[in-house]
Amino acid sequence: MLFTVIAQPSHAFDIIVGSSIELKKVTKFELRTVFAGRMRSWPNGVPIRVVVFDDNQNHLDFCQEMIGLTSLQFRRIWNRVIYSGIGESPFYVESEEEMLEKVRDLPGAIGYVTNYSQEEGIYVLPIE
Amino acid sequence: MFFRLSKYIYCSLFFFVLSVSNDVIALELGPVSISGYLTQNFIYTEGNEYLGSSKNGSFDYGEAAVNIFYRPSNRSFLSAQLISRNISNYDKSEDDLKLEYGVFGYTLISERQFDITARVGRLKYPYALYNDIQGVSNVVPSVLMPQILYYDYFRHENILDGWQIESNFRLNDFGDIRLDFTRAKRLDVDELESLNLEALKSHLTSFAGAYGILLTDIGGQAKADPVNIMRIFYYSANGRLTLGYSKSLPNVFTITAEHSLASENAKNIFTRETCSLEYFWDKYSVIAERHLYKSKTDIVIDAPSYGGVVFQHASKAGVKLYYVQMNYQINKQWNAYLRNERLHPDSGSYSDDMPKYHGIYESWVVGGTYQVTDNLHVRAEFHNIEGAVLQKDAVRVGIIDAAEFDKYWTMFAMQVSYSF
Repeated sequence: MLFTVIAQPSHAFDIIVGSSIELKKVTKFELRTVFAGRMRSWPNGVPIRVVVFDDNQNHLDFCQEMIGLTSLQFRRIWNRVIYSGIGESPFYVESEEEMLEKVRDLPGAIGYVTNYSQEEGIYVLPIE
Repeated sequence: MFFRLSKYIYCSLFFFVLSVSNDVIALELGPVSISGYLTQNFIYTEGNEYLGSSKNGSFDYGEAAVNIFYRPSNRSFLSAQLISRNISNYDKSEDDLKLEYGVFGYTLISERQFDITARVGRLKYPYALYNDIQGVSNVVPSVLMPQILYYDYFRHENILDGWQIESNFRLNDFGDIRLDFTRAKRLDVDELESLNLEALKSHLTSFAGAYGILLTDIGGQAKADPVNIMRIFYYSANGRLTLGYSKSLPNVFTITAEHSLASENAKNIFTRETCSLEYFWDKYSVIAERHLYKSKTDIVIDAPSYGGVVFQHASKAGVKLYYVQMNYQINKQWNAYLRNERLHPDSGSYSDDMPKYHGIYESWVVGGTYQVTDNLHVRAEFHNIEGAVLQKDAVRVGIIDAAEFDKYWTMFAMQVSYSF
């Protein structure tokens, strides 16, 4: 299933997910819980896999603007998830191409890009 | 000795080789996710010794661990941590890897507003902010966590066999709530039962001695109920505030010791509860926890052969402790922190035969972290301490030999840690 939705202009980032996610939209609060590792499965039971950039400016801005964390706080929160054995690590990617590839290929993946152009198997999740 | 050390080093080298070529958070080997860490601490003290022969500078505290996470299906997962640890030649596992935790988990319900997950197997004691990740140096905010709550000598007591239910409730603008309940058996329960029974037998022997009776071959047994732990966390919607409350529901030891002339039974009931707070804004963060520990002992001695003498004794004891830590992120590499910790026993818990400073702990800690890379950090801190309760506790359970302790002492701790 392929959805194409125009991104909300008030956000600098487009939240992208693959076709295994059956959500039509997401709240900013839900985004925070997903990217902070406190929501670990989608409502359809598919485990959430977070994909982020590896500490580039986009990642710093995303952490600050969308989830209210510094990149160090983001990493520390995820280390807690990983080393206490309750979840899997985020995927760290180097480029937007790699981000799109991961989100498309990895079931349950969620990521972000700054300039989304329509890609098969990927859609933008509008933020309520 | 060399053989033991070499295993520790081989283990460390293994992790290093795995991760040195790639600055990664975790290795993904097909469906299996692998992560790990290696931490070496250095402790130097003046006054009292702590975590090794620290007056001369001690490297006797280090550990290496590997975590494995695997999902057989969308709703189920297996996760485990193997650890090689050495704490002052006391909690020594570098000869073999210990299973620190190993659980099978299943997501029972996964809805937009809430989810419920069950875990069964070997768990780390899920208590307060850091108990289940104590030792994971890239998560905890200092070299040594507040010892009055996260006592490094007793790390091995944090392992449980049992089950846990975790639920998360998402309340949108109000924030979200995590609630978990655990029922499990401590791994060192045999040792604890034995200690409780010996204490009771000693009481019975001394009671009989007052009547001129020499008791021999006192039977008896001790039984510990499984531990029940409840923990609730509230996370504010903006993600900055975490409030927590943890309670270890009464942990009961039932003990009986018998002789043909007298019998004794007792109950030792332990309760712990902790309130936690974590708040961060911009480059600052504050972490604070307040902990209450209570124990209640009821002893009954019945000696019908001596005119039905019945001796009953009830006692209560407890301690209150708190710590507050302020952190400041100077830049991406540097972080500084300041902490105050205090422990005081309830007035009834003082024993006349020991100096008061053996029952207290007050310290100021100042420290900093240098993040060399995302995966490697160096951390150092200085402790200025009053009180010897840590050493006294270590003597009580036989970790160190009894000795004279200084009231005032200082500690310098340094840490190098690599994680992937």
